[in-house]
Amino acid sequence: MKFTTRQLVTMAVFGALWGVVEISLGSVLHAIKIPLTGLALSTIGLLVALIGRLFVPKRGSTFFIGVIATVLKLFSIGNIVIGPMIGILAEALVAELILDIFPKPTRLAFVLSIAGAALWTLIQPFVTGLLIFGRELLPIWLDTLDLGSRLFGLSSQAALWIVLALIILHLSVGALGGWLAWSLGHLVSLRLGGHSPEAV
Amino acid sequence: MKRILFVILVLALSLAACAPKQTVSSGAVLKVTNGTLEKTYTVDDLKALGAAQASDKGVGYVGVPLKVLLQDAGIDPSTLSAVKAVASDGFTVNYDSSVFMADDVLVAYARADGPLADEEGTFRMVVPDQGGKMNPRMLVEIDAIP
Repeated sequence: MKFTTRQLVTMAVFGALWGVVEISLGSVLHAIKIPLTGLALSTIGLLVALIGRLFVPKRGSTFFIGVIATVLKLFSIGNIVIGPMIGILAEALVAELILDIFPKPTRLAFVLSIAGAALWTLIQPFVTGLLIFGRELLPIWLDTLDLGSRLFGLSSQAALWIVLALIILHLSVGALGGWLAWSLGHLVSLRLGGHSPEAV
Repeated sequence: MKRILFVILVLALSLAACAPKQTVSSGAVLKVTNGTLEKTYTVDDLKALGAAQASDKGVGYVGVPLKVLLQDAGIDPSTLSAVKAVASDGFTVNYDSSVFMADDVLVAYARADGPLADEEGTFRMVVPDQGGKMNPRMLVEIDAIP
């Protein structure tokens, strides 16, 4: 894939915006340890990235935006950023792969791509915990059940219901983010140039 | 635009509704349990158990190794599959045996140079060289999981 200089600059701008969200909001949310930080950040970050996709509707542009955000995350406040960096990169990749199924950006593609990437945030602790942080599977699984138990008021014994509820929650928030990204993208485009993005 | 604002509002309310319930009371007592056995500890109780030291992020802490605390509560740590630390706000983290059997994993009751900071609570976990998520503050309960 080849990008023009203008497209590269546009992607860098949206990548920087995603990176700023991760550095600022991400650092605060991780520090105060509220639940679903990853879901909130990935939805907001991908919302920015997918608005960028409307301006550069080419294969690879969303992933490229994610790479820029990942690099910026290096400058985050705090000690360990490897997890969030892998998260950003993986979310961008998942979103990119889903977007690439569609010949051109559509609202459905946006909804599905952020929903898919949001689902990754549920899976990520298992991947990074096992492969990077050297944790065992059982405590990660128990952490997930505890999270669901606290969020939904379910007994931690009801593993199936907790997992289902978490999946539905992640997909729903991601889908809403995708829907919003499509609408906001068009609004931004109209504000900037008075016409819809080149994808439309 | 109104529709977008409405969606943002619904999203924010949905996430707010998912905020964790504050089910665990805070206090100056630490509960150690495995479901059947239960023992509570004050700072003085922990001081009587020992004063091991460990550091995390350059800060030194004084406390009792987690496995020693479990043994004192009548729980054999070698038979456990996991140990859960519960904070006063309901935050939890589960440890595998490589963590809870380590000598330098502490239930801290003080810093090396003085008492714990206010935001750390009466007790906190100290798991050296791990992320903040693995080191909950405001610790109120230790659950042993067979």
